[in-house]
Amino acid sequence: MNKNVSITIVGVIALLLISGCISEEEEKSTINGLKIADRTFTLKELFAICEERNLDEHSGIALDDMVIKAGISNPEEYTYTIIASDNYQKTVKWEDMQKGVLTNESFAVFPHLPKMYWVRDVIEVKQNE
Amino acid sequence: MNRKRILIGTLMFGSIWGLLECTLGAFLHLMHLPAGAVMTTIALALMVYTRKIYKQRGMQLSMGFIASSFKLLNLGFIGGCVWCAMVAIIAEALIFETMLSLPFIFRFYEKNRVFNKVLSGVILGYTCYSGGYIITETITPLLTSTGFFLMDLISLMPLILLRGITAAALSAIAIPLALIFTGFNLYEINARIYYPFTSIITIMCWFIAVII
Repeated sequence: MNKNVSITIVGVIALLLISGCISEEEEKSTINGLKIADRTFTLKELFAICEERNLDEHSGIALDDMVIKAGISNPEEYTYTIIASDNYQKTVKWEDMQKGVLTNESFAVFPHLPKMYWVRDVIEVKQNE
Repeated sequence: MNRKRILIGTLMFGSIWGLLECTLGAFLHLMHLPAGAVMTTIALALMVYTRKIYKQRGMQLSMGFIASSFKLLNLGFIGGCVWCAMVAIIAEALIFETMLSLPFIFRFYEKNRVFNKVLSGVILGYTCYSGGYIITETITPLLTSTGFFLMDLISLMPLILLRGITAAALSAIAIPLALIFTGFNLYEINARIYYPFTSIITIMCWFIAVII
């Protein structure tokens, strides 16, 4: 067999093997707690203390109320970074938090934003200056 | 070069690409399969085939615009982010055009050796997917009131670069196959067959996209 063809086939197989490893990043972590600013809550705690919000297809706790209940004062002065267990993160404004919900599957939904802003498996909500 | 043939060909291949994005792409997305990598590979195969037989620069970018417009036809069916998908499709076509306008890439890609074809697939697949993803993650936030945050993109880079490998691996197989299919040169078939055939396919694609 031609040397170049052999190299090509080996290369493609190597790429496929490497790409197979990518499935690792799809695995979901078990959420033990959700960190908001410097405090950590369980989802159960959050659902007990926060106001509920119902959207057309999703319902959960209001993200703006969650931030307020976590003890952040003057919340409108900050932007918020929603971080997932696979390190995917999206930063939104206070106005977006006022329209978003966190479902009981720890899924942050912003119905007015493109779906790239919807963050699954949220583990942290960070406030930014 | 027959401009009319190229125009009709652009419409047809852009429509096929758009229909596949709306149907297969949406299905893969809903099934949580690597929709982006698969659709990038299919798009590349279509772009490589059309570039080879029509030999017309800019045609693939036009195909991208036509394909992206399909996303607006079936907003209810699509499972993912419509604006992101539209930006991604155009970005991929733009990257493809840019890559093939680079002389050293074009010379390498044009050589009739299996190694060159496969490696071209790897390079085009990886660049179009990763580049398209980065452009999408940059442009889409600018279309919203939220705006662009650099740290969001930086945090996403490992994921983008890793997922690009899947697109590269798939394209390594798909691009040589697309080049084999250039043996069937649609551009050169009889006008009596070419125009009715391409028109029917184009209309069918639009019709299906509207009704689903």
